[in-house]
Amino acid sequence: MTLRVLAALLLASVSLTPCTHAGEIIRFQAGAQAHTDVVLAHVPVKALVAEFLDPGDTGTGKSLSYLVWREILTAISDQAGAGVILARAPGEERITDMLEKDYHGAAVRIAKEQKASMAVWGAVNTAGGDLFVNTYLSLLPETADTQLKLTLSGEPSLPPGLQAKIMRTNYNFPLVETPRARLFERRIVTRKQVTLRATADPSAQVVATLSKDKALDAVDMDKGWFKVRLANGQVGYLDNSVVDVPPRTIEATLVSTTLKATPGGQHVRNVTLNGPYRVLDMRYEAKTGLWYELEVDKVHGWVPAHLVRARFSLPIVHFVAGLYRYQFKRYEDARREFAQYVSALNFVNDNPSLASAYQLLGASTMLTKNTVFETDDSVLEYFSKAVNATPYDPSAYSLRALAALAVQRKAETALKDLEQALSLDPTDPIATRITDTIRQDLMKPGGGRLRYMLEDGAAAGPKFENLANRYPMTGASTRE
Amino acid sequence: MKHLICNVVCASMLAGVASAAPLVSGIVTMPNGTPLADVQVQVEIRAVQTVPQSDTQGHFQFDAATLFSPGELRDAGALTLKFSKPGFNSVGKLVTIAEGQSPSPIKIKLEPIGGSGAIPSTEKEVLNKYVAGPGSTPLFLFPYKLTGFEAAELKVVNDNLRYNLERVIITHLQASGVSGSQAVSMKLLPVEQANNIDLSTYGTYLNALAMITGRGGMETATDGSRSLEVTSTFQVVPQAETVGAPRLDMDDTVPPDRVASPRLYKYLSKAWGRSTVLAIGVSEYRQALAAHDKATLKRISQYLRSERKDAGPGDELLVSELNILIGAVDKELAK
Repeated sequence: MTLRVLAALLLASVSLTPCTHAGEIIRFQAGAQAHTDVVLAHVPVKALVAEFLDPGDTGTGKSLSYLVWREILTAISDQAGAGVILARAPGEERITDMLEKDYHGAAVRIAKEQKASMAVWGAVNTAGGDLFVNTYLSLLPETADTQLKLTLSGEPSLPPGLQAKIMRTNYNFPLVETPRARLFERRIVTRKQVTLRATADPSAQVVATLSKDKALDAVDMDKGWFKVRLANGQVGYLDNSVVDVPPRTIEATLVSTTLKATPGGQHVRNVTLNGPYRVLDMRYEAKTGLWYELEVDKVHGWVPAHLVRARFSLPIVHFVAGLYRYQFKRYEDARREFAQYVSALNFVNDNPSLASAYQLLGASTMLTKNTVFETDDSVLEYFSKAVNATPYDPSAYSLRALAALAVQRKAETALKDLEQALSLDPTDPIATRITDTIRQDLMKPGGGRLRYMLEDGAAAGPKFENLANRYPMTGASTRE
Repeated sequence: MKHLICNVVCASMLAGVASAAPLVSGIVTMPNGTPLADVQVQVEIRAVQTVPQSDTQGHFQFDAATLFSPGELRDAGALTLKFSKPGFNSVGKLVTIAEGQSPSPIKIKLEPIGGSGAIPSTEKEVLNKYVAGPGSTPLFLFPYKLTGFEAAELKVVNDNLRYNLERVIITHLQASGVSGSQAVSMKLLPVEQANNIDLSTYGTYLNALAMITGRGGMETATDGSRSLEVTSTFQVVPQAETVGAPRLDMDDTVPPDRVASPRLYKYLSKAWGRSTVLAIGVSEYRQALAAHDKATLKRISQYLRSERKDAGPGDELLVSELNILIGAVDKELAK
């Protein structure tokens, strides 16, 4: 009998319809199209970015929402079938007024109205040249009901019920304190021939006309407009919809590659990328994907984006991009985004989002392989970091239990974790169900699939029997 | 009667924290300045440690390095101190520890239980329209008293605080799954707290869930740089059997040009969110006890567990407080 165990991560509410938009998404929507009633109705996974609250009404809230929107687009630029839309108030009311009344509750209503599955929003306060930015992610209750789950399944089939939740519904990301320039001083790239205007107004005087694919120095933002300084010193404004917005910097750790003269073009020099680099230009090529132009050892050249890690303005961009990648089963890309998110938090103690990011990082890592048996059991480290971040969350233990079952093929670690989960909450529906599922399989006369798969299956049976008797399933477990 | 205190760790301070031994000292007095002797002082990171009581002059002092390992101090970045004495309301105080420095001496004022002044009738007239009716659960913000600022500047500071703290608290409740029966809001009061009347007295009159205020003044460092030292206070108003009405004091240092920015609430955001969950828990527990309402008790138990789920390293005190309340609720449920 061949036995394969696959870890399947399901977002049940998302149907992955075939997509015709491969490679076009970064340019999926220009200007006024963003304001039609239901945009991107055919796009299966959709986030919505709402205008950031801006108590001083400085216009920075608007700028930030456009920046985050454009950065998420860049992050998923090669993702067929993904889309990001800007929120539009259903009635006369302003989006920010709605958010101020009910925060996450309002964000969910706005997302629902526009058929998005999650909403990104925030709040910005300014002081001198510094910005203080709070960001939030609200998931639709429907999404929450069928949350991202880690499910152990196999061929031949494993008993159903080996499933634990990863996601929470609402995230409050930690406050980011940053100089304004670090967000807005960056390269942007024209998508077409554009007119630079004297002020942030579509009817303002024309300062210059610029060709397509021109990399420009943005020095600031005013509402949805980038303030641009040309090489000749001229200053003007460009609406964000006419430019692409690369990450401000990328990072690499000892990546040996070749700088090319153009995206996919001639060899310039062999280099080793190590550290952060400013992005000077960005191009999307249909066949080879996304490219960045960098300056390495005083030489300019292009490198493919998949070799490096983009660093976006706010950690939430990585988190949301990771969720997209994950839902589209692009696990290697998801892995990269969650790793970037985790590294951005470095010294910030935000337990819930950190735990989720580690769990998603662990899950993505497991799923980059064809079967979980190919996964190194160092992947358990990620689930352990999640446990360390939220040691009182029963789900963190249930997830590690499932990962350990699959990766180590031993019941002992899982037993300890489930016991821990149940001591925190004796009626936890997920932990009681997993425990009962394992018990039933191991104690079946002759043993079930799981007992066959696990090294210590026979010996662990009575221990699971004991645990399941101490913490019996309740009505909630059966419904889960 | 157990008193709850809250613990907060200023996470972004984790980066550079004391390797040298911090000597913590201070004075405990009554609100009028009379020194208080024999006040029990407890220090907590992961475990609670009891240190010598205050002397006849109200002074206390201890060396944190003798109580906790350098690793524990570095990871926590802050100590939670709890001051208690029979006949007085307990006070919790969070002291952040900076790299290789002893924190400045701490001033603690213990209020005698029920011994505060009464609100004068003229002030009651002003407050009357703020008194919470059924169906609303307000937290009230008394304007922060910060010396060295113009009235107009202070208005901006207090308006920003109200705006940001309301969002911080409500999004915290939404993210941790607290489903209270009433909508929570934050209101800024038009008058300052009178020096001789404690927050609980105001809170009881206003039918509040909690009272928040702060005070501070400009300090000039040896290098001439100026900063604002602010102490913020969160007072839970409802009280219930087995759990007291917690009060948390928290110190912060803010650059003067950032006083109207979220710097002032940055470290408070999580603490105030959590304190609000506890306040809602205490309030609803009290009502459910009186009404023998098991359905509500069950809901309380669930949201307290949900709040605990998000706790992490450094939140041990919060967890112990949640556990006290969960224990009390579960005990009622088991009856």
